[in-house]
Amino acid sequence: MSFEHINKSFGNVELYKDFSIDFEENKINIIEGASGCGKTTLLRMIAGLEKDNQGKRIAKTDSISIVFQTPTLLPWKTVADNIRFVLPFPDERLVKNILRLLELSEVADCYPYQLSGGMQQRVALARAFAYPSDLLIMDEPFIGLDTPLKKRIFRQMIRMWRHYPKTVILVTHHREELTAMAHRIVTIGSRPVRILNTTERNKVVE
Amino acid sequence: MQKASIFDASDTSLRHKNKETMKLGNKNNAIFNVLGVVSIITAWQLSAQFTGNTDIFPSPLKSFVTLIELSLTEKFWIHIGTTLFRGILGGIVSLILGFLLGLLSSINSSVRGFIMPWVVLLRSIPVISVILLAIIWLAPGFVPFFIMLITVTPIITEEVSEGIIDINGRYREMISIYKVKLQKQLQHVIIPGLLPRIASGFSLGMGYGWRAVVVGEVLSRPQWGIGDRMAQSQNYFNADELIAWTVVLIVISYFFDKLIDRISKRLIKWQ
Repeated sequence: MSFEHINKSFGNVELYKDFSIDFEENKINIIEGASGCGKTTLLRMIAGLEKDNQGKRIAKTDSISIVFQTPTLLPWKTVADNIRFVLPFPDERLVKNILRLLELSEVADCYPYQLSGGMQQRVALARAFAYPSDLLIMDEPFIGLDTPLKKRIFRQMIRMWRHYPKTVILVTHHREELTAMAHRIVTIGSRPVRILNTTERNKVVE
Repeated sequence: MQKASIFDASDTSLRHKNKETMKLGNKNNAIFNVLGVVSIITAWQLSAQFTGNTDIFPSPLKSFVTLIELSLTEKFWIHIGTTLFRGILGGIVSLILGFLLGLLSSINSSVRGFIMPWVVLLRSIPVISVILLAIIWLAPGFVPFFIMLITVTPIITEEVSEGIIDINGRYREMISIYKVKLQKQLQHVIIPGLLPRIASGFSLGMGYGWRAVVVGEVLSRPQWGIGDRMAQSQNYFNADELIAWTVVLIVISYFFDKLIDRISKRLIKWQ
């Protein structure tokens, strides 16, 4: 999945100038870089939430799931209902399976306010995988969580991905913690943004 | 508000102790509530004795006896029913109208720009001005209903309008990414998301509204209604009757507060 010749400025600041990037389809891709380097802007453009300088969408597909930095769950729906909410058609088997894979079966009837931040993010992740998308985008989804919890959720995510393969693009600024679990890691930085390094792996290490 | 997760606490004995402490706290509160009510009645009794004129300042006992005597008459209940009917009808119509206006004003900033000055105007006008103008414009029976409408509608409109803007801000991107259809947005996002605001706005509005309805009745003197009875009592210097009707109003206001609270708790169990 390639995105080419991206141009994006904010006022006088040229963030992306003729920038191109490739991702491996149906694999786990990580974009990493220092805070404020432009990762979120790139992700939002890929998701179609922001347009380039010409006002055009760079997104190749509109079959996208997203996990934001905050879970954005509907507080008035239970865990299971939050997942059901995004399904175009009812599929109880899918919902049950996803809850099981992410170890959320016990809290299926709980409301988000009853859950910790980590659990709420897992529900957001469950929702993203339940939705029939080709591309799953995750913008620093584990921010604020401690390292063991981050790794645990990421492992659960890989388990989910094996059952429901999608192209995953995840943004993080925690290189050491998660990059062992990705097929491709792209490091970006500088201004205008450019690719500083690309690492490939044949398979993820859980 | 971020509450502690029930799945985080590992010490169950600590949770049990907290429950016991809360029960004790509630018991203490109830005792002090009773003491508070007793102090009000005591102060009332002492003031009545100090005044020494039971026509002007009746004792709690005399007022209570008068209330019982009134409640044995058929007309007492017709007066209450009429005021209640005006208040409830006004409240329901305000809820619907306020919701629709709030929804309209959230469509785009131009519509909002048009509607909001009306909301601000209605919230700013002193209630007494509205009542006196309504008496000039409308038949006496319609004045209290009109007052309730003017009091509650702008509150609901503002809550709905601001609520929708807030909900859109929070969930717009998620809804857009997951391609949630408009009907589903309304049913599963907007209306449930608005419920807490509507409940608190309605509770606030009805609190003001009941008082305004009765003042409207006092001044417009429709044939039936608590306000009309209060004006009558005042004309004939029947302070005990005036106090009896005041107690009725307090009970109505308290009842509706509790009713709205209970309904809210059932509808909004996720907070």
